[in-house]
Amino acid sequence: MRVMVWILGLCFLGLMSQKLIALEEQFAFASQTQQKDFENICKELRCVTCPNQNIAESHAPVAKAMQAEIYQRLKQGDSIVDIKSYLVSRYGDYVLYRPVMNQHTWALWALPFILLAIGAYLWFAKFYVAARKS
Amino acid sequence: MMLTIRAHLWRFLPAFFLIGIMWLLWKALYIKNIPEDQISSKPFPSFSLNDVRHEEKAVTLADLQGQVSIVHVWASWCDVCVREHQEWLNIINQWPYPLVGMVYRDDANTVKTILAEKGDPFTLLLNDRTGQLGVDLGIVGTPETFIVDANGVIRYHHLGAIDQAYFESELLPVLKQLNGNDVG
Repeated sequence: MRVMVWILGLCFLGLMSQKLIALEEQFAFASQTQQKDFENICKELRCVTCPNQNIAESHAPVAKAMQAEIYQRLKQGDSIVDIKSYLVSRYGDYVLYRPVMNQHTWALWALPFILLAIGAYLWFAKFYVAARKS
Repeated sequence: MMLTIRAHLWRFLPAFFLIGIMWLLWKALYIKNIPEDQISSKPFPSFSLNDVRHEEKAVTLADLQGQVSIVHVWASWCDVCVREHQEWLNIINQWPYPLVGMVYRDDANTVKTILAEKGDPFTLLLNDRTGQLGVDLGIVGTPETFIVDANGVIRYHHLGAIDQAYFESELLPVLKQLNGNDVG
């Protein structure tokens, strides 16, 4: 059993490192900062062909083309914000894994806090009633 | 009386919560992920690409302007596109509108072999080898089809394959309208 876990763990590590090597080999940068920026942008953008993957992990041709576009733009000196807003102008907010706060997405951001407030109110109300009864 | 109703109302809170979750789920499942208007009504991006069949010939946006064109994005590695090819041969045979092909991240020789075997319905055949024009267009996969007006503005966008019946019911009215009902 322990051997199996080790084998599975090594396979997983092998797959992960292969992915990273593939991304680095294809798109080499002169500076470490740009390389990190590239990897981070690719991880934060959704593959529009296969929506459950980011473009760093996807092998879809559109994801590869998006990687190439990001690479070219970073090399030209475009900022991360510029690159993201360019891709949003092509594909909409949908392309971002971390949604921006706007009139369509405010509920997404506010809902956890609203639920937390309701929970806190209920908890205090119950506590208050219990305290009054005793 | 009011107090009793209020006390009972709390019992339904989980049910309201569940309805809310169901509504969000329904919204996520039935609302299109990528709105069509993300692409339609936008100017066709500028480009300079070679024609797959004449590699010395550079094609630019200016070649699309001045006439209404159908732009069809496809690739030889896409089975759906290769199966759809015969439909386009039939469509263009009956409705000879300018059909601009855009080969997406593909090998030019494989494309030429397909054209030699099946036939070539394309007025121009752009070679988007890197996929840059595809990203500029906001395509999500192949095949995709656009109708571009004489000013170079995208007026229609379709995701997926097209057959002759679909062309006649959906694309033809747009083409006729843009051409002022006098072509075709």
